[in-house]
Amino acid sequence: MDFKRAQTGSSQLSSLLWITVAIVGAAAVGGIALSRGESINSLWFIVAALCVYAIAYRFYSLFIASKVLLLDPTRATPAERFSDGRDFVPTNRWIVFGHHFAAIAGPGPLIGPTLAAQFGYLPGTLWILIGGVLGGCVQDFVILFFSIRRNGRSLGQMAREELGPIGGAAATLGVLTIMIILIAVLGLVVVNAMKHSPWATSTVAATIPIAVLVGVYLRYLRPGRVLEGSVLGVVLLMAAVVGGGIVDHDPVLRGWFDHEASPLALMIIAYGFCAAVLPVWLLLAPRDYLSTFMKLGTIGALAVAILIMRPTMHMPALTPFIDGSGPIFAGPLFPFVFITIACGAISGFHSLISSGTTPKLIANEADARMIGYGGMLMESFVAIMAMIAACVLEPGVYFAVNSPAGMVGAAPAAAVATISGWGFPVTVEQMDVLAREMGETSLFARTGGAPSLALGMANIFSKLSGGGLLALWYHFAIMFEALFILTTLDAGTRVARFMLQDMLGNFFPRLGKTSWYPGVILTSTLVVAAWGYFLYQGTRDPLGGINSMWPLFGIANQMLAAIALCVATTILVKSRQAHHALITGIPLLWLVAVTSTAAWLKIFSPLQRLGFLAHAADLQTKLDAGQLPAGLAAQAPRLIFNDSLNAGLTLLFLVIAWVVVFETARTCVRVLRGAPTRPLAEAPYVATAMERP
Amino acid sequence: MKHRIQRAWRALCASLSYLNGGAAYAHYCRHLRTHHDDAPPLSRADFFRQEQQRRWNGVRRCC
Repeated sequence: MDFKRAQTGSSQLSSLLWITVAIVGAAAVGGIALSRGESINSLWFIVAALCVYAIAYRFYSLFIASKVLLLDPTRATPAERFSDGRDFVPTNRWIVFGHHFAAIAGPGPLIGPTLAAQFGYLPGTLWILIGGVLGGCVQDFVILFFSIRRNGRSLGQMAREELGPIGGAAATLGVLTIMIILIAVLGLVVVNAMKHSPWATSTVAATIPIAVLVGVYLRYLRPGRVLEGSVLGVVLLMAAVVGGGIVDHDPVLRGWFDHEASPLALMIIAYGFCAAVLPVWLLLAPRDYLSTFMKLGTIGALAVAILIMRPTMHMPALTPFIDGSGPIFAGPLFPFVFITIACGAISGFHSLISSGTTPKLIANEADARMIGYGGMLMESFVAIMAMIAACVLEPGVYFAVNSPAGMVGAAPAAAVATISGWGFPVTVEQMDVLAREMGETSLFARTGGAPSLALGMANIFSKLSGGGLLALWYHFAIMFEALFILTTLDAGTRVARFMLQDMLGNFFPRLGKTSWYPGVILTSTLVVAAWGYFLYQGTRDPLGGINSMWPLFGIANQMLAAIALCVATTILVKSRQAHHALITGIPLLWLVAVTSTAAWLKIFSPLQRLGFLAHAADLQTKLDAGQLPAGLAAQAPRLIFNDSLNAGLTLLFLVIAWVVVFETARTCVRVLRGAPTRPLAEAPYVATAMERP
Repeated sequence: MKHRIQRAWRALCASLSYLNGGAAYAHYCRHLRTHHDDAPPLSRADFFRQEQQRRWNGVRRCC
């Protein structure tokens, strides 16, 4: 009797607690949405996010786990059944969580929200929260779970098994193209942070020998002592940030690292090629060890700093640019805020990790909820922090840093006049002082999001250290972003190379062999040439490249998410859960609507700022009429070709997405009608022999 | 107190080395001991070499 009363008491207490969380969360979200003052404190964002996440995790993910997926803690996972001490290793869930988070957290959720702040803080923040808990977290969770039930199969394999060969091939082609665009756009972000910045360039350059040193240490000096090697590397990285300042102050050394964007792009391309063909122990693996540490450490430090400093945000809730006239990227709020945020809310790329290394480590099926759903909640929180860091800047400064010269004018005086004219006052002196404080010559037109994020982070961190060391913090942030952008670049090039080898191996078996060196060189060259082309052209684009490439990347990424959700929806329908298929079906429909609208606008919009074809046609007309200035006239044929290429690529994304959607619809209708389809590829039940810790 | 700090420090090092794959060798040895009694284990250096090469043949990192 007493026991029962105690239980009712604790459940009442728990209801009370959750009602409080709900009220506080609703108040914070309402506060953010309705605030129309000059500025708003970032604490509102943190509280709103944490309450939304807590409620979503406690209720929605529990519903999915217990009513839809039916997680079964008594069922043996692939890690247990195939335990080989290498790939398949039953691992403590917190360790798997760390692994998973380190794998999914890349530069995407930092850059996307920074660019999306062009619309003001409100649209981006709402989408990060809503898209995260209803879309991204669900995608990561269900794909992880389905992969566990299928012996740790990859997304491509699952698409083939559940949807058939056409769906499978479309998924694989989708992954390859997104990889190419992703690498190009990330390369461009690094280049824009390094152009004419000897400090940033020398620091980023120093990460290469540091990685090699760590690689040699781990292979020859102290084989396999990863922790030691990583700590050594992190210490050297810090020294490199300080050393960059010394380089910057030396008139001779400075010249070696002071470059235009185009030569820097060529260097990145050469580096990417080396990283792809060199043995992994020398560059790729050690860089990844370092970037894991820096990533977890810096993200943690940023969270602590934001909590302690609670900085004030100056960006308005909405800017006039929601109509599509924004300088950073073209296009109206719908659909471009969703395309731009991309990874912070839903990232198709995560489905590759959720069906890659992670399912092979999970010791118990019940852990999938915390790792799949919880891991993405963390990532969404990273996106919220990036949004805060972007909005901490004065809006005038934010737009001066992020607007390409082709949009606001190349001369500082012209740029500040244009930006102030939009209602975001900024002066040349203000920008000069800021640049000097950050140890840079100029901060105008540093598109790509990395420099403005670094400014925001430097702002927050330096207040923590008493207001000083701005330049050091700024370059630390740049180094941190470049480190894991370059890790993604290396790893992505390598994966794309393997996929290409795999594909070509069907026609020329020899090319498929990863040990045949000429084949390795050929396929690596093809991959690097593909992204290198987009990267190089991006640096020569008068609008700065990010303008057209980030939307392209966003469309590709969201398309991949749509493919993953197609696979998940098919599996749910097949497993007699059709009435629950809405949990993936609704995000799927939304993503299809968003990507299709965005792709359509990017290709066919009559506005020359937005549509690739309209821009090409406009240039052609002016070129024929002889209206272009001499410099632009020489570039015009190349720009026209690039527009057509981008339009073609966007069309390819659109076709791939619709092929998979069509295959999904066909399969689902057959299942619902009772017609024969491919059976569920789920592995049979085996009882676990492991004790649940 | 000192004992507790020592234990926490060791746990921290262990988790960090797990995250970076540093504990993989211990796993491999344990697996070999329990499942294949007869096979002689690779040395730490050889294991690390093989492992690194193999692990990088797939998608490891995201955007």
